[in-house]
Amino acid sequence: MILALSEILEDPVHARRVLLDELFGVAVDRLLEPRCGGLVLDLSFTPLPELAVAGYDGERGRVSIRPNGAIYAFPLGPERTWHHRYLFPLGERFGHLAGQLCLWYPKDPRSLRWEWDDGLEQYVTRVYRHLFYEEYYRREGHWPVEDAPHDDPDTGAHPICSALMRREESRWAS
Amino acid sequence: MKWTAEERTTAARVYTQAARKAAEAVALERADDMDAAISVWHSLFGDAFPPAPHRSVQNALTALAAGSVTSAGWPSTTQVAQQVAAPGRSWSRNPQTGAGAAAGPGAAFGHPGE
Repeated sequence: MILALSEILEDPVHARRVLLDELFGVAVDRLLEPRCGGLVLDLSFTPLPELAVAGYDGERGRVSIRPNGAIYAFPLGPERTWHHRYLFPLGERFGHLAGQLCLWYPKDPRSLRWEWDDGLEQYVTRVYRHLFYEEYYRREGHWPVEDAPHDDPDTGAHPICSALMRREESRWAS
Repeated sequence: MKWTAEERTTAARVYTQAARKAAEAVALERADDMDAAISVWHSLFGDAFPPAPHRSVQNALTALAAGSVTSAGWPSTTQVAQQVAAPGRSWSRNPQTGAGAAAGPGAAFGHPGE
């Protein structure tokens, strides 16, 4: 199923049940409904079996959804370095306080970006993947698959370079 | 032996989950991802069914880049496992040049102390 924004805001408990039932290694630890509207989900992520064997710990994250559909993902847990995470608007000094994860490149084709039509499940899957990719980067010094270079080029968008990502962009566009 | 209503509910849930896993494994076999199918059968039958072959962290994370993830946590490059995993390229603004898209004061920020 695809969890739509309206469905999530109307019945957060149902959304929690769907995430638990449909996604591997995802637990919803806490649901918060801010007074200003929207929903906040605190999530725990169990590593893939191969990663658990290699000593990867579980991860935690927060997904914040506003009533207008704006959505953000933040890492929780100990302070660590992050390769793909926005800085807090007040500067690097406060980066540990905020700074959402950069889950996709905004100028990429639709098939590489997430939108609400894809449902909350796919968004949470991207958060899951991103958090373990970050830990892989800390250990190995490189992103496991192609990522987009930091910042924008002077003109246009960063080209898709790897055969894998080009193939997947084409496959998911069809 | 007569089951209580609660036992019937529990049994129905367990059998439904098992049937779903079996259907997932069969779909993976048909999509030619035998290792992913084996991982699901192993999660269903336990040690009575052999585990999927071991693969490296790099290979597992590459498979996680695009395709789907089985109920047993095996990333498959096919799109038929339980959980869809669409591709994407992570990105961020250069830490030296910009703060990026701010979540703003309405968002509930992550905090290391939580």
